[in-house]
Amino acid sequence: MTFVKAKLHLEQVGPGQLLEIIIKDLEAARDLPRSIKDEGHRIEAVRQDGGLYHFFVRKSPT
Amino acid sequence: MPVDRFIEDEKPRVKVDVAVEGKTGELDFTTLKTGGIIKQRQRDKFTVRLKCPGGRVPLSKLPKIAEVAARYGGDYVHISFRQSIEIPYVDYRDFGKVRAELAEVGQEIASCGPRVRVPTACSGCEYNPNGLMDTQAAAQRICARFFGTGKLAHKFKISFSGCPIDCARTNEMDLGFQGAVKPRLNDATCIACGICAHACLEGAVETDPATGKPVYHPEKCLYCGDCVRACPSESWQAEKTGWMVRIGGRHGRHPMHAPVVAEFLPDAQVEGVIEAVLAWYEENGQGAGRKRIGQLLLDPPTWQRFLAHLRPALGECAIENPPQPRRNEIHFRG
Repeated sequence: MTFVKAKLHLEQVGPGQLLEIIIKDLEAARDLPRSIKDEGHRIEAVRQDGGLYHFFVRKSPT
Repeated sequence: MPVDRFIEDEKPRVKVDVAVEGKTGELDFTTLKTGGIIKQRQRDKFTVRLKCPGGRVPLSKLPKIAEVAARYGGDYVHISFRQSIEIPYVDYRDFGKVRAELAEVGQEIASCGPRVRVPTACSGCEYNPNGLMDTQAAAQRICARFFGTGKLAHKFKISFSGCPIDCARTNEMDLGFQGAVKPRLNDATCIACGICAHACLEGAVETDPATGKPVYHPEKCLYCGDCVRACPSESWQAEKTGWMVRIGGRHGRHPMHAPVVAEFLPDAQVEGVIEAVLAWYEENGQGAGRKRIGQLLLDPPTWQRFLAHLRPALGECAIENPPQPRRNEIHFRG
């Protein structure tokens, strides 16, 4: 579900743009990177902030 | 137990219109079963087992299978525990027509008996996100090459699992292949995000509190590749991918557990391993009675001789001093 939400947000930004995705579900943190990479996007940085994960995702240029 | 009035114990053989195991005419039930035609409780009725390697049935074959089942069988088909479609309630007088009509779409009947059975497999890496090896390709390839072969003491079952979840239960097979990946960390590109430690369900990757970077404990690793898939910076990479090889398992009344004898076996070596195991079983099962290979390997000197025979086929993937197959009794307490 987290990935579906992330995908919807990624659809709203332009190719090559950066999106910050903040999640608090550790299970999702485990699966999200794989799904994002499979879709051709790039995770440029990840920051842990207490119980939250901040993913900085560069949308695929195409 | 209810008595089935249709049980037929007076007539041990029936006249069939197909060749089974090279035999024709009046055939006994054991021969028919060996050919994939299994006697039912009901008078004159047999279950016909189809050959479905890896449990994959092309859509091009399904309509004909359904048509044949509706015409000659009951009102359902059954999926066997080894992933094959079975058509029950076929009258022995119809065997010829059943076989000929299935052959129109290239669908064959499977065999039972003391030989290499149809391999089973999970969906593998083709579309299963956990899959590490192409189990389906392997199952089709191995079925084409080895199905029905061997002058063996007993049946011989092979399965392929794509990952350590091991849905194809390779530890219960005479010979099992399970996909695995050995991870390696590129420390220079690691961004110390800690995701891999969360991704690892085995505690094989922990986060160093001082640096935030992962610490790898190979002794806890199942080689599932979760760290590789989860890593955002591609710092965890697959050092090598291949099959874990298990030998000597079985299920049934007296199950046995198959130990791992090789790690990360390249796909190209699978045929060589199967050939070596079958050659040994053919030779050493002679005169041993109806024994699975795992039963023969319970004897320690025999196990050592078997390993010596197999080592060239396993090459550098062989494990040093693997444990023997062992009994895994499920019916007795204490």
